[in-house]
Amino acid sequence: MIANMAKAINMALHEEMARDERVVVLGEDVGRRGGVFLVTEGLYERFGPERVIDTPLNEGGILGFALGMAMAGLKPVAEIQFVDFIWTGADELLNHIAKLRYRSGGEYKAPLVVRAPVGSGVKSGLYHSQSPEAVFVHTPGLVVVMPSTPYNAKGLLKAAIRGDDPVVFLEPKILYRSPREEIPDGDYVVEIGKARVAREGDDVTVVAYGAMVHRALEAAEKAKASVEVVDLLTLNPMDVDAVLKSVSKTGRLVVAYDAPKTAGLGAEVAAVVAEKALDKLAAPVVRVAGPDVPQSPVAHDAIYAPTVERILKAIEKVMAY
Amino acid sequence: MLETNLEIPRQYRTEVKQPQIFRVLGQDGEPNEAYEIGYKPTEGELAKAYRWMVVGRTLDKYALMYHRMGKVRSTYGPHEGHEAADAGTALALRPEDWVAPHYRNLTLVIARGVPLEVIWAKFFAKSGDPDKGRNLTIEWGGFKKWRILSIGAPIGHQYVYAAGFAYALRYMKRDEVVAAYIGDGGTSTGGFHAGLNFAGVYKVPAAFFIYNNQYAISMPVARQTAVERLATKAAAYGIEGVSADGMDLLAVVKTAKWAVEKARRGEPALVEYVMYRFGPHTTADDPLTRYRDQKEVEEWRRWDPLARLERFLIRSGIYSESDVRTIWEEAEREVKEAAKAAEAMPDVPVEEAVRDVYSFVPKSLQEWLGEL
Ligand SMILES: Cc1ncc(C[n+]2csc(CCOP(=O)(O)OP(=O)(O)O)c2C)c(N)n1
Repeated sequence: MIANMAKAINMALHEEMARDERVVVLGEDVGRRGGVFLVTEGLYERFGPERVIDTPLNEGGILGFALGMAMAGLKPVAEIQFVDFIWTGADELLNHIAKLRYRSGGEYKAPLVVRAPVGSGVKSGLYHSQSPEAVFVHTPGLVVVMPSTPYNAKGLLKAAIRGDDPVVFLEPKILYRSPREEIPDGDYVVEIGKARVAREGDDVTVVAYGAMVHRALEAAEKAKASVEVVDLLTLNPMDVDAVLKSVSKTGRLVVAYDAPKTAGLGAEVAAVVAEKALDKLAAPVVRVAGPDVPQSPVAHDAIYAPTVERILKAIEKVMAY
Repeated sequence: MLETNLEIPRQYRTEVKQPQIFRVLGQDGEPNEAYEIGYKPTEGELAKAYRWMVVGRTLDKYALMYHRMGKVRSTYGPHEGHEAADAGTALALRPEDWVAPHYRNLTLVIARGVPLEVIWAKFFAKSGDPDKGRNLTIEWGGFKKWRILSIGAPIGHQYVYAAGFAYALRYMKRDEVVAAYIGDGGTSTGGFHAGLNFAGVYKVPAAFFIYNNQYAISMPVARQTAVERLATKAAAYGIEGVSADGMDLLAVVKTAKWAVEKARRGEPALVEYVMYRFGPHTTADDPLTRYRDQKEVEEWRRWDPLARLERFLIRSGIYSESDVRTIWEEAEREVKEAAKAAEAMPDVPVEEAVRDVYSFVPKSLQEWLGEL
């Protein structure tokens, strides 16, 4: 069927809950309301209040509760309404969920998924627009995933739920309703830890993830050069081989990400390439990102995230070097 | 096996008494015997409060209308039903006191003296917005001039810093009080508990108000707590709590005055206002199809704060029917004129996007501006 990302994620939840009784969903308004973006629609009616749990308004509570459930053998999928509200649960996520397996010498584990909408571009101001993926990537023990299309969103979420590690699953909210694409009928998973080449090209590699993949693809269409677009999909562990392979072919790298520029994920991509493939580079790496201001003022929302034009300019810059 | 009695005798157990809901005005605007309890507002104060409420409701109506027309930037959170709680608590404060608002406190913002034009400038993200177009419509970021503490969207933090702010006021030997606001959903947050705990321990001059409007987005208050009345939570922090009808201006003024003046003496207090949110959570919400039925809304409509106060004012001869009509008409005119003035303001200049991140503009941001 043809589906958007919200629907694709909803399908993954329905299918995984039907497949495995241990899967439970919890969060604010996930029950009767079906989530504020309607991503958990229909689950409450189908699986009941014991498995689709409307929680009190407390993110630390949601994450700590989920951790307890996971330690006991359930597979919680927790929703944080907007990733911006995850910080009152940061202690649970960064100090406890992420470190459980390590600190217990492998005796305990926390196979849970934390889903949260991320990103700018919907005129939602400073607290409904953030992209803190770099913080999660910087925390050993967390798997961090950001899908870019309905197809990979569904497959990656299913893989995350079936896996044995805590996964922070970041959903670019600007992609919930469009684009739409064909989703196969049968069961499938998309492997975590693998990037995809979203478009082949020979002159420049643009590494992107989430909503920026679509802008990179559009820029690639408009560029005079032949542009390859690598979509990371999993941010941690990053598919370094895929990035190096592409850069070795093209010799030029642009990284586009919807987050404050400094110490963002683009810095990591650039550093990896500098460490392992500096000799393959024909031009300095260019990062296209948001300014280092709180993401993303209502009045200036449109100028925050990399636009097609800004990515195009970066492509031209590395080509002209 | 021997049967054991597992019972622990009463004297070793805590007891919680759920308070009744303090109410003065009936649906018809007639006061009951509680009218004699506590502070009695003057005619002038009542008139002032009523005006704030009428303006608050009118502004809310137009904000929704202009949102539908695409003029109000970002989502808007309707405020209808909250007018009496805002006006009544505002009336209990002195001009030099401070408020740490919750996002839905529109009438409170009006009562603090913020001009309508400035509020519209904020809704339209125009240059007259003290927040410089950075926040959602009802996040009050930079309204310091009106002694409104700065809030962001994450719920709960305002309670903690209200306590800290109040501590500082006393430290600096100032006779000012902080009034802090939160919703029923907010009472589940760490900020709520930390705020009340610190306030109780340090006996800070702060009054805490809970707006129990029955829902946090779709979730009924029974999903936030297993206690009947939220005011009972005060007991756990060694402070006093009261429950009152939050759509009854007289009940609000009396209890708010109690709490604020108690706070001024260094005894923080908590008041739960029992009330209802008539509209959706925000312009992105549709309650009737998802989580509540029309009958419930109509039931609560009978307690409408404006209608009840209006009947009381007419009944006690403070206003005539035609006075009331005039006040509504004036409010409508003022609200529309202010919107027009705000619409004519220039947009917030792009250069502003890089200011106020620090006390200086770092080189990287100057560069970024040049690149744009
Ligand atoms: C820490 C945090 N978590 C989640 C949200 C998302 N959210 C915004 S409003 C809201 C419900 C708040 O309800 P309540 O406190 O009762 O206030 P009301 O909207 O009823 O005035 C939620 C869950 C948020 N703003 N902050």
